[in-house]
Amino acid sequence: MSTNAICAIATAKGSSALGIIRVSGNDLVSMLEHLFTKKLYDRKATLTDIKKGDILFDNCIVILYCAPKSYTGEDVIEIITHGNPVIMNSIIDLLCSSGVAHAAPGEFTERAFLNSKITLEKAEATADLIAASDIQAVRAAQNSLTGKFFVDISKISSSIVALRAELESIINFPEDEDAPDLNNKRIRDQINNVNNKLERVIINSKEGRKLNDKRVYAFIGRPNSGKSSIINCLLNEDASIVTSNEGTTRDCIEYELNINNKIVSVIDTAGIRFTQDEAEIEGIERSLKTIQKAHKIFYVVDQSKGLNDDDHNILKSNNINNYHIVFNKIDLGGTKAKVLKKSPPEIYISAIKREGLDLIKSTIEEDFVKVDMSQDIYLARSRHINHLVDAQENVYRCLEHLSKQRYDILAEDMRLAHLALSSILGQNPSEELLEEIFTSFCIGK
Amino acid sequence: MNNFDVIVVGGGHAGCEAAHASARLGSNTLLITMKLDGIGQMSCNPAIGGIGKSHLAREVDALDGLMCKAADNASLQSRVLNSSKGAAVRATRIQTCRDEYKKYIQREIISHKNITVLQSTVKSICFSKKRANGVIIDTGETIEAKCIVLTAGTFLDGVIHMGDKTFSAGRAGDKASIDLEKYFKDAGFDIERLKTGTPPRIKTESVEIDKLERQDSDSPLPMLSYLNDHYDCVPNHIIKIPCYITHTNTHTHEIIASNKGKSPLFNGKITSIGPRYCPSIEDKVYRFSNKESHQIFLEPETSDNLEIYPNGLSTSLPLETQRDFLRTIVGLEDCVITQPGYAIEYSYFDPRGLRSSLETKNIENLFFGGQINGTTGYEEAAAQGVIAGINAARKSQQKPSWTPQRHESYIGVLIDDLITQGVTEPYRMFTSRAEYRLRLRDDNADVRLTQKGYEIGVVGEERYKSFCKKVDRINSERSRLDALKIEVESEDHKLLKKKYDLNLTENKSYASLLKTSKVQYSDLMELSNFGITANASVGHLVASDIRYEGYVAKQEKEIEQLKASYNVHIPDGIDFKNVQGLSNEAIERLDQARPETIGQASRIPGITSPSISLIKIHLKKNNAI
Repeated sequence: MSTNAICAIATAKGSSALGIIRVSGNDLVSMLEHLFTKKLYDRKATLTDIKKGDILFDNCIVILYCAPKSYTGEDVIEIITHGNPVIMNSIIDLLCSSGVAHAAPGEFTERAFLNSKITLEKAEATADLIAASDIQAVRAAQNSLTGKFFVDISKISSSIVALRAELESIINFPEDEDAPDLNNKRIRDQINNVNNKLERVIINSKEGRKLNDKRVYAFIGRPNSGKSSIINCLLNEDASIVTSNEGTTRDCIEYELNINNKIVSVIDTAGIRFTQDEAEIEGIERSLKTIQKAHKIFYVVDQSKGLNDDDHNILKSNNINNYHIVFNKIDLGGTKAKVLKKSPPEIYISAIKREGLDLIKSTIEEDFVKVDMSQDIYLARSRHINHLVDAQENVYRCLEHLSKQRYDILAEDMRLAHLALSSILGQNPSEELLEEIFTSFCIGK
Repeated sequence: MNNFDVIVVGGGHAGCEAAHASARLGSNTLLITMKLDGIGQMSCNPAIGGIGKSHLAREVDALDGLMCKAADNASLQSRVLNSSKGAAVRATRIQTCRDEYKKYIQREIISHKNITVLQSTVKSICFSKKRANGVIIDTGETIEAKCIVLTAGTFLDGVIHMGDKTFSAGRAGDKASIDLEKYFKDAGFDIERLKTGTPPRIKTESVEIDKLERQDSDSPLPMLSYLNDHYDCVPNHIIKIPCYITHTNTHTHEIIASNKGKSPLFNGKITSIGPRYCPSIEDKVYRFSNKESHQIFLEPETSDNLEIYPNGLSTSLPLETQRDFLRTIVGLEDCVITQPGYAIEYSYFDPRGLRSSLETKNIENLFFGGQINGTTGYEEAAAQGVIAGINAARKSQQKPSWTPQRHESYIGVLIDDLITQGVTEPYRMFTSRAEYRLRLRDDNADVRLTQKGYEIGVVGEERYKSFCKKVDRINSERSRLDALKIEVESEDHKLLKKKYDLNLTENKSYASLLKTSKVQYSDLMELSNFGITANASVGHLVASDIRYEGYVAKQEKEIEQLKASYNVHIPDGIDFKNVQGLSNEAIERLDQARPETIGQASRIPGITSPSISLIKIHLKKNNAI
């Protein structure tokens, strides 16, 4: 059976009270009605069993949105299940056996775009909204949705159009006294002006991008220094644990931790030591790889054993620079929980006694990008940032062309810069240029 | 007189190139003109070339067309424009003797064994089942042909305006073609009106040239045709006559301003749109009232130098007002007008009704070229003419059409712009219209097009041999510049150091010097160890190739990437309403232009990349890709 229907779990991974499965496609009702014990009505919530033959999968709320009045513009069914991953996965399997395919990442939004439910810009911003890892990032995403970003880019684009109009008039009407004179200083000033404006937007966009990057903290150290207990404590204290993948103590396990409404990743790693055990060596190698991915490292040491040559070797041979030393098990030595702002900084805690865990949290919190949202931080897509950087490189090269008096190449780089901004704005750059030339200059003999 | 392969209707710049190209391809060709002596007539300014225009003209030349050869043989004054702004925007312009120019063209047309010329007026096109198969002339006779090329210029229902006078004419002194215009209107073609204008002509004797700034030819004398510039031929040199420069002043502007009500452009008589880049003097004075002066070029009309063409003074004011304002201008105080200036309104076809071959979408075997497609300028007309002629001949020989693409030529840019965007004002070529400008220089049009021209047969054996010789020269000069090094310890280095602040720390090839520094090829030619090149023009060309290499390579990649997607064919019968997700506005624009490929569709104004994705998805769904 060939259909265009897709499905996916719409809520976050892991257990929770409720989970939502979303299905989109043409003629969903005739395709899937045999799975529900009750009839579905457009835009009505229906409490129904999901069954195949005699097997009951779950008792759920199902909402049908008939095309085209739905998120994707196709028929959409949302199944609100109990939030157990086993149940949800079995329903997904059931749907797939009825001809529904697994959705690719972003496919629902893509369909919404293709069916003209949202613009390309909105589609991109929505994708960011879903992935946004904190309140500030959400606001930045809304900033680009409401168009602050686009207004600023448009302004720069206009400056480029003005400069191009001047250049093209000089090039295309060389004998015209009414065309602007070739004034290198004025052109240089205009290039610099555009360059500075681009610089500012790029910095602001990158700031916005940072908001959206989930920061990663790795806990490493020798075996039995207490890494796992520290992480367990951190997670247990917090009700909003999002993920906990299954794993062994010999593997790296990544958890999501909510600190003051900001989601970060913490990674538990296998203890590092010299060993012959092949499985353990593999785990250690993975730990070391994790170090590359981490924004910051907590190097955990059993305080009763102290920092020894092995520790120094581990730190040195793996080029670990940006780290805090966490002295665990202070209860054994009677030290108080504290932070020593040395280089590297030292944090004294006891996981067992739950002392000093807030010190680790506040250390993480210090890292959060401090951004004043009253400023123009946009959540630009990396596509946008690439275009902006392209544009800036082109504009920058123009200065060199100007000094070598290669006006045709200068004009080409300006055109490319214009093109780059136009692809952010979704405009056709050729149309505005001639308009600008003829309204600004009296041209033609 | 019957059974031609191709009939060309019209003997202007488009018609002549069309007929001659068709004849070069071996098709039995008939050229019908309303006036034999009008063949090759320059109706407006007496010059060929200029920025963007010499690019087009040289592409016509690269396909062995007539225009450049005729101009070189009729040159009164020749100049290179933009010589210091970069090779890609450099251009050549030749002030020509209109009589010599016309004579050259007429000789080539009338003497060609495959061309028959007939003086007559075409009343209508014959066709059956939406296929053209002949024309009916004013005697009522039918002449049959496999393909028809219409190049009627401004003659389709042309109306001349001068002050309060209005009369029907194709240009001053010639009848308009009214029946044919009416015929097409009735046949359901989209016909619109445009306007253009021409200045009064002045008796040379009555101008005091001693008071004026003189402008001579450049030396060495620039030439347009590759035959003369790169292939070692020598044109027929005629007498050289300079241009002169003068200016309008506040008195001139006062007279023009106070007579605004008498200008048909401003009193509501003319409603159609004229070109913004070639405004009438009324336009300039009214629209840019803060300007106190406009520059005027006094250009010789013929080698007899009896008349002068005052470039920059196009006007449709009444004759006495023309005289009054002319006489306020320095040098023209006692001038005598030999022909008054006028504005002309004429009909054109919406070029979105054309395929890229210039065949109409409505009627098979019928091709349109030149000003009737909404363009202006001799070069724009000639460029369309040569393509319409090639494709009419090829169609009559049952061969597929050929049109060079945007990245290959200004001709490609011109035709693609016309058929995808349509026109809102007379279309003139600007180099800024070409996104691949750095590749499309006026010194390499033959490198871009002649090989292909030879393959399809529009370029003859002899010319092709000369072309191959040039290519050999290019290659050997290139290897020479790559190999030859400038030594750190040399007199030449000292010289360049002094002139360009150049400071080499190691021996460097001339090629890399040209690429990275300000040094020009002409500077290298002055160095003692540089040696001699076979042809300086070819040397400059190689230097430009080296200079633009990086950019050209980048564009090459982009072109390659776009090719696969842009060449996707959109079926003729597609109903854009069935493309899911397209906005009504997009559907309307697509319906107007009926693009043949995804590339064309993407260049229609207002068609965004999401719309293009939707069309592609639609085609994929329907297995059209």
